[in-house]
Amino acid sequence: MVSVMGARLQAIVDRVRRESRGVVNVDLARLNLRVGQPLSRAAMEIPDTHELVAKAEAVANEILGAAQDPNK
Amino acid sequence: MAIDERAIVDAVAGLELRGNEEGLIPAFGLHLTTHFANYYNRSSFAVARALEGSGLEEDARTLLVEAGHVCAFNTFGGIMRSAEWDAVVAPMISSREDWIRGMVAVINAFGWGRWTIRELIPDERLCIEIENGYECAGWLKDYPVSHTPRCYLAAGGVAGLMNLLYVGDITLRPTLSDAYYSELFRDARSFGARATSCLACGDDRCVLVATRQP
Repeated sequence: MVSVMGARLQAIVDRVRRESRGVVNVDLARLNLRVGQPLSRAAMEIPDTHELVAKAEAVANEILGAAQDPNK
Repeated sequence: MAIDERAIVDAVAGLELRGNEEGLIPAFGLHLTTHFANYYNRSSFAVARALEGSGLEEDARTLLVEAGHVCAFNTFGGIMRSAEWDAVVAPMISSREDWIRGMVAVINAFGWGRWTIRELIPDERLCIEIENGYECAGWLKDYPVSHTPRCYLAAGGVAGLMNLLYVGDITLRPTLSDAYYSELFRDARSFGARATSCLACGDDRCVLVATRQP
């Protein structure tokens, strides 16, 4: 399988931007810092490796889940 | 009556704010803390420095300024809802903008540096000059002259003042809930602040300008 450069990572960034219930730029900064890559600014320049996509998805779920549940 | 900063500083100084055995200062309806001036500085600057060259510097700045937003919302907002505010500052307030002038006077009583309002255009722009701000004075004490502004917490504080007054309405004494925070800081009309001058960068003082975010 040939992965498109950064397409899946960009989709995760777009999801955080779209579904954030907190402050969007803060949630994106948290995503970038937790993943260790500047995804919100350069996702399309970063290879969609399985590990990175899985990590980004897990972090995004955590950020969005926490935003949706104030008790988390 | 205009805001009398000297009277406010004297009144707050007269409260003899000191930490209890747990280091907490119960005042203004809040629990303030007492600790070494550089404690927070060194924590935040360590984060910023660790990320230099990683491509994530802007993200660190975003979160450090966000800490200032949260501080402004809870601390400034809490102070402006407090019995002490009602007793000392409220009697001097004769305009909406006096809420910011009064809060800046309280900030000066806290000794975070000398804050001066250089420009306040209602609902549009706030320019605050800070002499000897503890963040950037602390930076210069520990590190070389910076290539980028380091007054993170103050930037969040300046934006927070505008959001409390012009995006929300602190004059109505709203409950400072998570939902209200989101309302104030994620609104399309929310203010953000940037340093146009910074002591840590070799300027003689910090100048922070809050405007609506593009």
